[in-house]
Amino acid sequence: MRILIIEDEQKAANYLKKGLTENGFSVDIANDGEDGLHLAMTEQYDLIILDVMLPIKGGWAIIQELREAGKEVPVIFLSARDSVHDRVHGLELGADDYLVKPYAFSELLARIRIILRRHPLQQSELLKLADLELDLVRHKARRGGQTLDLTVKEFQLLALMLRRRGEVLSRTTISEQVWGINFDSDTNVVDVAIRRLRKKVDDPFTLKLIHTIRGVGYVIDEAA
Amino acid sequence: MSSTKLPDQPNSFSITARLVGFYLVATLLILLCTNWFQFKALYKDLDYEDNDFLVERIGTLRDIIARHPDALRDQIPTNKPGQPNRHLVRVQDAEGRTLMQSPEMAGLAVELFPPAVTSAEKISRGRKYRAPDKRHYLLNAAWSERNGDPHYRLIQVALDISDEDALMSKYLIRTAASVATGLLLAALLGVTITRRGLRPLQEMAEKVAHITEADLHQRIGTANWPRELTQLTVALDAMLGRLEESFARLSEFSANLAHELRTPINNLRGEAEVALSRARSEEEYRHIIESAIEEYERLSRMVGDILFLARPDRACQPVLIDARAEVERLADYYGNLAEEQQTTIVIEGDGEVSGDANLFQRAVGNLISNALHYGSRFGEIRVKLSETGDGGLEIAVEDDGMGMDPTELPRVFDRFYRSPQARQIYNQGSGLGLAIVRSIMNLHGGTATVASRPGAGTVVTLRFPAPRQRDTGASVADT
Repeated sequence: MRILIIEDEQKAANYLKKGLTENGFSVDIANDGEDGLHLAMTEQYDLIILDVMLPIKGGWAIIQELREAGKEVPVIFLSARDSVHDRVHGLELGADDYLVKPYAFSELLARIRIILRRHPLQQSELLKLADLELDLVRHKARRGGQTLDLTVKEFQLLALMLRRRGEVLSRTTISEQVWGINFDSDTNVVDVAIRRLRKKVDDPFTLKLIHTIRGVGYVIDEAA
Repeated sequence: MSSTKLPDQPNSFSITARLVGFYLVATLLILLCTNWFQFKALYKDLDYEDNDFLVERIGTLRDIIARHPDALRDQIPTNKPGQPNRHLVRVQDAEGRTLMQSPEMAGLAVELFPPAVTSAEKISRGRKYRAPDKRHYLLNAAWSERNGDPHYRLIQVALDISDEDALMSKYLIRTAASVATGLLLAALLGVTITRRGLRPLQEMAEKVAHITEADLHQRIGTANWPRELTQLTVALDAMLGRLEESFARLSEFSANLAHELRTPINNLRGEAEVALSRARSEEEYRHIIESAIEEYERLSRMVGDILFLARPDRACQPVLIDARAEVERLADYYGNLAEEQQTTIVIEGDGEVSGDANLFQRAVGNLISNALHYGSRFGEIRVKLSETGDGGLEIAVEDDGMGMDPTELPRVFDRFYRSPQARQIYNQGSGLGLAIVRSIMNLHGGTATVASRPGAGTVVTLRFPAPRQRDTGASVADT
């Protein structure tokens, strides 16, 4: 999977490249709009990460020229401008997503994966990980043959993590998806919920599945 | 700041131009009226005199015909060289034969004259006639009697009034000239008077233009200005007052902001420097980075909140919100946390508000989270929803915690304000929560108030105005 990063801030471009390369992507960097557009027009990328404010040629202009040239490559905007108007404008120009700086790298990774996923998430009726099973139809959770007694929200939380296994989920994402809370609360509500879920899912077993990435969020996987 | 350049607006007008325009119209009307009356009066006088003269002539001629017919010939004016005859006479007998007439009378046919009256009737006004040679005449006629015959002789008289025409047109030209002069004078006077009259405004503008942010304490004052400007000066002074207050708040805000930003940046820097001062284990590096991410998290949340507060004109898409359902969602969210603190969240009543669903959630969420942080343990948090008299909704979030000192209440909604006790209890707060609540309430045209009794708890009340009819009835869907 090839990704092009068009970003004039050298530090940002470098850590993005590092992070994405470590996650299995091959990454090219352009430091200004003109080079970026040239690369995007001549090479084949699976995704472009585009800053709005760029020297020589801005992000808005780049995506417009790409779309006019018939290039349908997915684009994620990164911008420090977070007004609703900017966001809407970016999406109207044909961007697939719009992230406001500062964003969590895990969040960017998750969104890249969602966009690059050729097929939508498997809405299977049974989610499995190691010896953990979630039956979405009967609302039953089992581990190692034992039924887990989960509350409705705990079940939803576990289902969300299993569907996006291996992805680090930020507290904000979890609040949105499980409780429908759309603002950044500075409380540790999510931490408490995870702690309670761990008590039921992990504590009785040797193999721990739920892992904390401190400062970033939570992930469910067989290995940390 | 002190530029006095006047922007050229397409629809702006000049008071001077307007006033001068009014002066001119008024002057023109006055001059036209007076001159028109004079003109009419003069015209009437001349007309009256001319008619009088003819009637008098007819009277004289009647006398002569009745008593001294021999002297009649002397009464017929003839053309004397050097002076045109002002009036002409023709005398005919009853059969219409002309007995005698002034030479120019030949040009005036008998039929042009008004019908003649006998001595028993009153002689009416003459008839005006413009001859082909452009001369202007006043014509009249009458019968004169003799020995009881009322139709003995027909007298026709004509008065040449061409001179009067010239006089009148000369008069008209003079009048026009005087009106024009009057208008010019009025314009000049108007401009001068208006300029002088508006000078205080100019002086005020100059004074205001020199007020910069450094001397916002200055006031224009009503004393030195004309009474008509009182309203303006009062309004300007009030505006200066508000500006001064805003600036004061802003500088306090900036000071607080700098302080709040310093803390996490200082932590980051200190930890990083200490970490680099010698080799560490991988574990230690990991901890330092994790701690840094937490500080970044704090910083970016703060920046987000500050930006939120810095945009008072945020657009919000109002929808009809089922307040009860939304509060229940929040109670569900904070439920675990409350449970850990042995606190229950009790919801009473229900209602609807029109507003932005996310912002509504945020405002009430902030209050519940405050109540959890600063409310008592082993207690309960009550969220009461009740309709207000005007169809709005009141949402009161009440805790039974330590309460607040009455002196602090006015400041709790200020940005970054945190009471010393609050800092002790929970030091992770940003001090922006309630400021955001207030800003969200302002955006919705509502209010946020706080009441508290030390030791007995605090209640924060949000008042939303009644939903307007035009708001869509779409309730917030469950996400």
